[in-house]
Amino acid sequence: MHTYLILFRNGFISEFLKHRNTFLLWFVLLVPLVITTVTFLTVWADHALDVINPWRWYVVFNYKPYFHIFVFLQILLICHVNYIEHRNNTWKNLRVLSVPFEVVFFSKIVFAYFILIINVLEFYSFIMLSGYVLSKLRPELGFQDTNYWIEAFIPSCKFIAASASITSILYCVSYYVKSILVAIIIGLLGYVSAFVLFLYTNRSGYTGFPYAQWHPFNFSALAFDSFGTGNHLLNMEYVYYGFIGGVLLLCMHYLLTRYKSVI
Amino acid sequence: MNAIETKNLSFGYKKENILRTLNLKIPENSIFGFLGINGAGKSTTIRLLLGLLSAQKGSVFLFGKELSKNKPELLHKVGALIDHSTFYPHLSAHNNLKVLAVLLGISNSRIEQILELVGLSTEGDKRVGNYSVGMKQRLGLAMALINDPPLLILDEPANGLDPLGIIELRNLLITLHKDHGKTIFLSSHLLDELDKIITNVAVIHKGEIQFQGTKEKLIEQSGNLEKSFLALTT
Repeated sequence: MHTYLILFRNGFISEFLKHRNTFLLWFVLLVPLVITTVTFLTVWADHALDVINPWRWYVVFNYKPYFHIFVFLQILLICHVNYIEHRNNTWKNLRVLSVPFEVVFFSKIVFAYFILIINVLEFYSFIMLSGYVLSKLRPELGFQDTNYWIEAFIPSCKFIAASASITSILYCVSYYVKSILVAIIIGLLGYVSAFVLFLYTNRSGYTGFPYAQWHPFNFSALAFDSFGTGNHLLNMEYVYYGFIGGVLLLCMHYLLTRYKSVI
Repeated sequence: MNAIETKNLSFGYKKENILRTLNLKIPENSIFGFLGINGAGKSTTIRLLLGLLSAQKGSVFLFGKELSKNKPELLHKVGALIDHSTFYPHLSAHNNLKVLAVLLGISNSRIEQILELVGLSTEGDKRVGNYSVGMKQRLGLAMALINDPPLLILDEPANGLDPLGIIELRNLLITLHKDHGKTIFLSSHLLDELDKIITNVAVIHKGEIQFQGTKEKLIEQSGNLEKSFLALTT
């Protein structure tokens, strides 16, 4: 294997070792199970469905709360990957190792992104599993007559790609802000401001604040916006904005950090 | 060859000069004491030697090569203990070392070896957050030694240690020097302690080197290390 790939693999495992005994990691991985369990129990207990495709309805029903909760998990996780070094004063240790700084820098973000991808895939798997169980427990809902496997999977991929801009912003903020509380508050302000601006929009265009669509925290929401309406596979504009913006910001952040002194 | 050499090294913050044209020569296979009162510039020098700060003027050479141009290669030959408590306290000593070992591509057997060397083999699975100051310093040394570097740079390693901890640290450093052939550069203001282990010494005051050479040569100046040090720094 190429030396750099080995170094990045080692960096990734090293990040996992640091986080594996933390509450936050398990919390992030358990939340999808909790959401799908709650929605499953709601539908199983007393929900009567009057829809053409119960799968489509069920997937959207699950994703609506998840979308908001995911942003909170993202804020917590990304802030934590840097905070673990700030709190323990370990940046110095990492900077005096014979490992290139880019390995340390990118391993952290790759680790965080990997956990978020696992979170999304886990959520998708639990939706499919719980929908299957519903088809057995309550056949009158009609889950066994239709399927939505692929249509539900693609938005998950779009969602994670479009949220790259949020990930990069949070990674940058939490690198420079040593207090995790302040970093989380900045992240939450980003989320709230995006949400407020999003309220000015309608589902087919922008009738309110004209620049709402350019708020980076809105890219993943807008990539997800047409989900369940049938044409969401064509709506890739905000996925590109979110992903390319995220990658560019990450590279700029790396270049700024590369030569920064550690006191 | 010198393990460390600085040429006209200068550093300052805004208008304040911390270091002025520092020319240090630390011979290989020595225990080099870097003496100075608080604020003399010891920690800044160490940060420059490790590349944590960039020199405004001058250069740092490790084993004959310039640090700024060969950083990863040269840092592979250096183990550093910079500050207290630079660990992940929720992990055990074993796992703290494993984080570094994995990152550096070092085998697990080295972890056991190094825990044995610093006397933490029986405590290796306990959470570092519950360690005493002395145990933390030993773990810090273990982390510095993980890739078996020929040069150790230690910033105030005896700080916060009780007398027993200081004796243990001293014996460990002597073992590392004599049995493992390490060059050790350590900063401290504990003169009595340094007197017992160092072979070479430099005294820094207000960012300038007042003396560098063998310990014997410094002692010749005023009769003992303490008097010689005071003569140079007051």
